[in-house]
Amino acid sequence: MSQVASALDRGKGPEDYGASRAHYKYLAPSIALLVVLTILPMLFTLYLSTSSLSYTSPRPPRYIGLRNYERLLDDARFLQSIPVSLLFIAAPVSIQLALGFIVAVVMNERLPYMRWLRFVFVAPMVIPPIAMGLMWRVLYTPHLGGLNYFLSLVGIDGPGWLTEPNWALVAIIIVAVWGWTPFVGLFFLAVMQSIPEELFEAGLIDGATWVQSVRHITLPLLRPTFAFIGIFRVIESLGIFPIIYIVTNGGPASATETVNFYGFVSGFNNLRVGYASAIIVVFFLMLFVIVVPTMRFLLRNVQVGD
Amino acid sequence: MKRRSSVTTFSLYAVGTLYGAAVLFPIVWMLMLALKSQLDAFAYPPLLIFEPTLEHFSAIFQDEEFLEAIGNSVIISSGSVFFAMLFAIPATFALTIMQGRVRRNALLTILLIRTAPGMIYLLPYFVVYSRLGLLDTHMALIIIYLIFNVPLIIWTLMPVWSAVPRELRESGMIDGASLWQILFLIELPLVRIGIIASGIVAFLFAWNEFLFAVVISANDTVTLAVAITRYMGYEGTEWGKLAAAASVMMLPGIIFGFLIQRYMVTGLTAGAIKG
Repeated sequence: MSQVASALDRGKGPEDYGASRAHYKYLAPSIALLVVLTILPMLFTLYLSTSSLSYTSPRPPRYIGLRNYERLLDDARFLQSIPVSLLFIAAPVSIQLALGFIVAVVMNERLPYMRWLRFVFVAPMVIPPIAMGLMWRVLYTPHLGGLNYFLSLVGIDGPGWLTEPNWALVAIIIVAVWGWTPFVGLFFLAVMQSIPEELFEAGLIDGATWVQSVRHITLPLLRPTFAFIGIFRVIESLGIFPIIYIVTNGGPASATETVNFYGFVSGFNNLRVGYASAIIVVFFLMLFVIVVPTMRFLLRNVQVGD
Repeated sequence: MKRRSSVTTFSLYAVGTLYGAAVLFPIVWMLMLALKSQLDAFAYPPLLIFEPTLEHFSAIFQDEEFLEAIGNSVIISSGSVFFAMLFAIPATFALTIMQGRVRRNALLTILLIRTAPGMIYLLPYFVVYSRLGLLDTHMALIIIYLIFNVPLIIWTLMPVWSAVPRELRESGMIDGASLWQILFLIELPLVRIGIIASGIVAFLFAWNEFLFAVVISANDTVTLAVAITRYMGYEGTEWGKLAAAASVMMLPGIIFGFLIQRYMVTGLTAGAIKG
């Protein structure tokens, strides 16, 4: 399809070094490193989640079985963090995919005087999430940001973005959409540019309008891309952290706390490491429960890689 | 070659312009805040035209903690890129030789590791590092960032490396070169651009990272991302300094971002592109 993809395909040489497997030892150190650095910590988390380890308690940590998990079931703050996590996946990812597709279509038209858009696009991709959060925190702050002032100019009475729980949720979603739509858009654009022009010419001969050709040629061809990028946006959205930390810090009244954010608070503000580990284990299970069916659903009939 | 009605064309311009403005607005607003005096910053209605001042920039560049944070970020980011390269370069080389299912599964696993939320690794590192006395050292973060930067480099480098003609490798083999010699003498010089681009991507990741930094780098090794939040103090937030500091932190990304824009998506695109 594209040059890049066909290049990736060239794994097939003559009766080659591939057969000798000598090259495996070049890959082995990285695999070993990643296993040590990720699998071991995960197992250790599992172990910690069964201990009473807390840096504020004078008593030495001991094994308490599943007690941490039992406590989670009665912890209203924890139970509330689950739907928040789900919301912060569903809302931003769907908007990012839709909006990303639309702006990619716009850019793919190569309109005169619109080249600057490509440069604008790169900005959110390279701006540190912490600075991203800060910009929006400024905008949401009354007077300082002027967001509500500008809204009032068009007749909208702006809400208390950071003081009303529901609007605080919206505030976070807006930042996530702002921050990650360009990446999704550039991704779509790269794939769109690999669509052979002949397809559109054939459509043209058949009398397709522009909208029809986008709807019936571009969109179906991008389905695998939607699947691929969607999965990774879902996983990354589950891990949303710096934005919440800066924009709302979980507030007001823990209304914008996700599961991992609450895990962070328990572990590093309340220093209850055992309990926080249990939260993280649940978080990991959520990741699994959400990602595996999503992959199944999105990747049906789609091949990734080669 | 596509036929567009004038309504369509108009809508395309409108959507593009609106979207571009929405992306730019927060950035411009923060840059303006960095250049406003405290009084102007809180003026209502907001001032679009004001007398710019460099007081916040000069204040942060006289702040020793801030300067140290820049140093720490440079050390940690470059360190993590250096060590990640040692692992990622041979791995990418091997992956360009491999084929079929094994290669695909290896690549996907590597990608999943990089995408996984850092939170699932954070607590154990905190506990182990505090026992080993590694908390608050540069090495502590450099090691953790390998988790993300080794995969990131592999995925960014992969498409560049795969484009190297295989004939070079084959003629090297015929001349009796070992894999080691093929890697270092023949192919590495050819993928220089890819190495630089993936190095920048990895550098920016470490430079921008916040979650691990805020926990692991408490006092002596505070990175820029963490140092900035310290302007949101108990005695009220120093918005001007905050905005100035964030603008400084954005600089490497903005400068390098444009240079390597192409490479930031190619890695992922290459994996996704085949339907």
